[in-house]
Amino acid sequence: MISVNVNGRDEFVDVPPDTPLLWVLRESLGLTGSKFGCGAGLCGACTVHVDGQAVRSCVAPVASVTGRVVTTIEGLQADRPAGHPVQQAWIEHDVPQCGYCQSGMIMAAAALLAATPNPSDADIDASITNLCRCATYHRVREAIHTAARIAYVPPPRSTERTHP
Amino acid sequence: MSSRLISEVGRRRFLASMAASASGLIIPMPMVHAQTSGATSASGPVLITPWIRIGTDETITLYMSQAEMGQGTRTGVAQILADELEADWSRIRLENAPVAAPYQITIRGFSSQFTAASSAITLLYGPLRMAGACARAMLIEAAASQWQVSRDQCQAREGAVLHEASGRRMSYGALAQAAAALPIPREPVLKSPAQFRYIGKPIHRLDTQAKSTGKAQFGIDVRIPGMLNAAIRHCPVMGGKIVGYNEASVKAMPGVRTVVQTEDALIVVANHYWQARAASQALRLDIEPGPQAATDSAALWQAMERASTGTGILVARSEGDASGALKAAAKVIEAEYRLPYLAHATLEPVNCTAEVTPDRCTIWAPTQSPGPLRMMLAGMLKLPLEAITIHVTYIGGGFGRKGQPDFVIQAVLASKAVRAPVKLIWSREEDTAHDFYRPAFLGRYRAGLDATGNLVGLTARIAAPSLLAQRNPRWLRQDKLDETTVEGTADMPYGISHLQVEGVNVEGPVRLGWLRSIGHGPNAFMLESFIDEIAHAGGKDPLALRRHLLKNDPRALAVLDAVARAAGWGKAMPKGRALGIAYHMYVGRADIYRTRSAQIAEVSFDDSGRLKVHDIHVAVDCGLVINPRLVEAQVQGSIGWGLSSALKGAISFTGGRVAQSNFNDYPLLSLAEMPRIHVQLIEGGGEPGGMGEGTVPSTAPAVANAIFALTGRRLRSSPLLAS
Repeated sequence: MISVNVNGRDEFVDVPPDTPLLWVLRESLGLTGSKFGCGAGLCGACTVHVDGQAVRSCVAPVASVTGRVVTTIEGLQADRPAGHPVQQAWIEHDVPQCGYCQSGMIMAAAALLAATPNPSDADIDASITNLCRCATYHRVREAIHTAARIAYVPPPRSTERTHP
Repeated sequence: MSSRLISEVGRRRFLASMAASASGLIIPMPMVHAQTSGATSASGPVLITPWIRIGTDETITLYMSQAEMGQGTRTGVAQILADELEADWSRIRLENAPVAAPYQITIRGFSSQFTAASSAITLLYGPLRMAGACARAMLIEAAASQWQVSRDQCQAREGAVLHEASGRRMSYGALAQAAAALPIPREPVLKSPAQFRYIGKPIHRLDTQAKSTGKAQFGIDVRIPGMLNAAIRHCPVMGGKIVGYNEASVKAMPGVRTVVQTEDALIVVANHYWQARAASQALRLDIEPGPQAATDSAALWQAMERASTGTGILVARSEGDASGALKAAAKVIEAEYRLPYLAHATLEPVNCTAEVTPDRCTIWAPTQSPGPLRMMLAGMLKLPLEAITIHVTYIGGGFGRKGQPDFVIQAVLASKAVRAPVKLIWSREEDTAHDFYRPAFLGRYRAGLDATGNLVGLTARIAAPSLLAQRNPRWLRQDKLDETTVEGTADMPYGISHLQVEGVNVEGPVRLGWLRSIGHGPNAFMLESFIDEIAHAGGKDPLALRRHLLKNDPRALAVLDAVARAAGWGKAMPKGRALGIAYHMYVGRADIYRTRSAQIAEVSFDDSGRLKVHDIHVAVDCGLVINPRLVEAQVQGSIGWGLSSALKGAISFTGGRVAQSNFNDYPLLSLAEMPRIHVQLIEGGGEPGGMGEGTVPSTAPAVANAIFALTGRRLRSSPLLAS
């Protein structure tokens, strides 16, 4: 038995340790939001977060995430009724077409924004290497900028006036 | 087309579909019950036309016959139905239609239930409006009868019928039972465009939420109780045979249930997918390579060259005396273009879940062709049509690939062999190497110019392996001309008095299929590059030449002028930048619509000599726009698709095998390479035309023409990045 923490729950799965995390998520845990596209870490449809970092789960052996925190698209919006800011932006822009790459795309975008809250176009170019065959890239870029605005929390002002 | 004619065509299509439905008997049981015993049933949802079911809870269920693969068709279809129905949009929900006669569409005599040829909105616009209007008329009639007033004094508005004089109001849910018992009117009154509530509005897609939360169920996500999982290995050599394999050792691997051999593949069935995949990778295939063992790309190109100078030249279009005009011309220019085979590379690899029992077959698949599949499976399994059920899932990219039946047949064979439900998933490597490819093209174009550089005649000879000969021979012209080889050139809208277009069918071993934009992609690249060459050779501006050749088509001029204005055509460009232009009229299969578009690309090369496409301006006239938000998304995405093919796409062959395997050697456009896209929608009138493919073809030539403008180098083959 291998122990993995996925979306806040400790799960125990009976699979060989070199089984890719993707297939543990999809088959053992029934979390089919993460997709299989290439099996070689090239397309990013399988992107999940491991300790908050974007990881391509089709090439990550399940044993490599033991003791770490895995978040999938199903767990991204936990405790946020309106969805993660990236999801809100995705819905505002109607980003998906066929939608197959979008779970991975959203996870990659969420990881980018966690590290770089206000990314430039160059930051987006460098970080978002997920492939989209429908080429929704135009709206992916717009939606990431929108998500940054949604997530933006203004810093507290030092000379805040108190209400009388 | 006048609105009178629209409604007449729509009425006939709708009535034909109603007649075909055999009084709704094909509808699943609960609905048939509700429909035929509406008078006695106190509550429960009722079906009003095959497309619409109204619940007592005010839920409006719309039945979706078309597969959603990203094009947004289901949102568009829902808008058309809901508009004429006067439904409350917030009450709309969508459900899969069964495979049944009322949902058939017809292209060139082929009637079935399928999603292809960017045809749904065009072919269904009339029937859906009629269905919605019939349901609305029945609901009004039911209310008028209950209130004992004239129906003319009642009106439907957002899910209810109102009688303004008395202030009475009844909701659709309350009226549905009575309405369903009424006869379907033959001549319902359609709305005028001014009354449209949803048609033409930028409504959000209905599938965005599901696709942004991981909840959308694609074929690959299907789970059936007791389901086994399968992986596949095909014979790697075209036309070869698998004559043996390491059966004992593979069957002994963990979880493996069996290995099923088909005509050209081995299917490994196991408990879990990863076990099936591991076992499939452990297969050592003993193959008999067959006659294509030495075939490579060079040999295939030689066959193209031989055929294009051989005896099988078929005239697709002939006007005036093109050869005479060229002989008399002051100057003749020639160009040869070569375009490679292309793969679909849908991000969701082909997959299918099948459950075959002695008397039933149930399929869950990302298929574009449920109608043809059902017929085929009934024949193959010797079962009545009613024993075959096909559940169409969300499709993770179709582009024509998922209209093919191969992967469904494989899953059926596997399920039959193990007597259990089986989900078969192809690996990316199998998907890339065993596709139904877009044919390669070889085009030779010649043009004659007079002393002042005016075009006086044009000839084009286009050679390609025949897609129709392989996939749909009945659509070949009597002399075997394949319209998909010459489409986009033979039907060019340019006014050229002396014109000859010829097609050549090349014999070849490569398996061919329909790929987004079919022959229009390669033909537009060749023709629009050549028009640019003609302009430069004659000292004309490429935009001015196109305007001149299209002077009798005001809709073409409108898109050209719009895109030229937006891109600043003719203005001085910053150093190192240049613009290229292309125009294309996408004639839908069987001429069911004509979508006109023009694109202008702005390019540069960076210090390391790498091409950058900065901006693409595009203007499109596809007739009536059902949803500008959806059409704009299709335009943006299809330009990215066109650019991906133009810059990077190429399938090649070596030793009778496809040389590419995954996204490392069949690369796709990346986000960083995506240009800014500026879309203008210009509604030139008429019914809605197709938008799934129309703006694919002109991207590649616009970019190639911009590269010429910048560097003086003419790229006549793709992928452009390889040139």
